[in-house]
Amino acid sequence: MAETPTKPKFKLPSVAELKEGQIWKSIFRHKLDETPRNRSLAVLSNVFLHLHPAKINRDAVRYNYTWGMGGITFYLFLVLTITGVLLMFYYHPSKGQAYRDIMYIMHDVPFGNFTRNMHRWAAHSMIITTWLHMFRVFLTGSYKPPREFNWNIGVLLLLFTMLLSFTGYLLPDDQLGFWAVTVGTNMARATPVLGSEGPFGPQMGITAFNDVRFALLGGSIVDANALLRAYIWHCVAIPIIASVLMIVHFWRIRKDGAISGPAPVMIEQDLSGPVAKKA
Amino acid sequence: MADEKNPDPNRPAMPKPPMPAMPTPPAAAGMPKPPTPAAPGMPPPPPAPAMPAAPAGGMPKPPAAPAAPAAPAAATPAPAAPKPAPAAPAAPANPVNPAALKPQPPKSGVSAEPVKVEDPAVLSRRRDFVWHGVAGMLTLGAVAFGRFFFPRSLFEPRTSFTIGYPSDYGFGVDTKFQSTQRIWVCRNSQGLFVILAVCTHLGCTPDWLSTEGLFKCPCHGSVYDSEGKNFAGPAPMPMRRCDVRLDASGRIVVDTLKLYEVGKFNDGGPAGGAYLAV
Ligand code: HEM
Ligand code: FES
Repeated sequence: MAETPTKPKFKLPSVAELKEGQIWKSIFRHKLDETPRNRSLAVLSNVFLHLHPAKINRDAVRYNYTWGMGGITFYLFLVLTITGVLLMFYYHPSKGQAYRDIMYIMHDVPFGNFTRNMHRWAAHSMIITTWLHMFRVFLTGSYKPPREFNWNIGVLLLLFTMLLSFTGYLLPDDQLGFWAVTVGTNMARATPVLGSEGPFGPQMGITAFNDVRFALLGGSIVDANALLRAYIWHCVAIPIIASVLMIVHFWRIRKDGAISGPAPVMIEQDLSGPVAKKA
Repeated sequence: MADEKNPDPNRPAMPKPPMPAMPTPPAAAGMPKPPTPAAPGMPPPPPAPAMPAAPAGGMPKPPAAPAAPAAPAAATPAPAAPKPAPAAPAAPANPVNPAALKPQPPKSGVSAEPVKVEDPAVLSRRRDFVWHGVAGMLTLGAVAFGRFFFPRSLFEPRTSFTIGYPSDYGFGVDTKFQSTQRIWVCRNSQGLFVILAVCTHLGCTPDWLSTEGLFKCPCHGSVYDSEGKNFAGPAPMPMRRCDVRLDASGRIVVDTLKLYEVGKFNDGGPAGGAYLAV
């Protein structure tokens, strides 16, 4: 039978044709021309990129100034969020089950050990990079006005980063974590006023059954309630709080006039350019 | 569709408000006061349309700017005398009275009701009320949130239990209740006593090393002798002892919530306390 080409054959559209189509244009609301305006638009019209200013001082991207430490810390937080959510698919926060789940993740779950190690290494690293970030902010004097507010947001972020580390420590329910949390929460007994063994605590009627340690553990001993509380703080509450604080932190960096900078550096190209020659 | 020029034929066109009927106060008094409410606490009546509009209402103008010093300054080299800023006195002496912000007469001849402008004092009181409500709710929520973290009932091991008869225990340290009750049962020449197996540094369980006759804490290395007296490491004091007594059938009852610190180790005696003389 002779073929009668009545219907037009389906043809894959070329990229150039796609770019003219409605779908493309609905996603990318501007052309990607090599013009300063379009480069700015690419940043401004993207919900993720718009965290960045469209243009920044050249010095702000120098690694020997910021060490990139805040950015690396944020990146590690993202890694921890993703790997943490993955681990949650296999982990039950209950006595008797928690430790077995960790063993299961490590020895049987496909890529389980890899995921767990990624989470653990990123956690250790985030503590280190947060401190280093704070250290560089101190060294560059970037805590000074107008950035003193953001320094304080940073102090809270440091606190919550360490609380994330502390609450995560108990979750494997192994000897290391159990005794670490025993020791850590026993320190809370010494809290002034709120601790059963702290200054003014006993005088205020604070006992081991109504002090701050009790609220942390959900009881008077490190047991099932403590494991569940550590889990909720670690996987839900603190990540949300830290995310909110990071939003404020990043927003304030821009409102405070972007990354603080050293005195502007002239690169040779500028110095030998037409302006420099004229001068 | 309603005629744009006459949206509501039933409504009579608003007469133009008469120009200031209220006597303007003397210039020295500055601003006319907004009408005082009839009774304190009552919302004031809507502003009368007869209120003078601040800029145009025929208010006495402040004296013209003293331009005099400026003019000679141009002609003769001026002495460095402080020049009064010429712009300052020209500013209207009256801050805008919100009550005077009455609607403009319709420009295109469209009739309109005068927009009701609420008294700022009422608005402010209303805002305060809402904010107090919000603050109250948040406070209540915070208190409830805090209290929520302190459970009423606990499902924890008993803190008072029996451990058998005094004759079950010889001299030295018995560890058979270490993992279940976190205690060591000990006997010396004075009698029988029970050490709470909690390091006085930060609460780990030390190990009983029978060959060395010592308790050593794995957490930070505190060392105690066989009666729980600390002598090395960060532990600040000897390990505490539990209350012991005999029940009717002669069995030892231990209470891990009633503790004796160093200095009180001799409290008690044959009938119970920090030790049993049995
Ligand atoms: C969760 C932890 C944190 C994250 C994700 C984070 C993230 C960032 C990022 C991405 C920047 C941009 C500049 C850079 O990379 O150095 C920054 C700047 C800044 N951070 Fe943090 N940070 C954290 C903790 C802290 C801490 C602990 C402090 C100090 C107590 C702090 C204080 C500041 C200040 C003052 C700036 C502005 C610095 C400047 O303008 O030069 N941050 N942060
Ligand atoms: S808890 Fe025993 S030495 Fe620190």
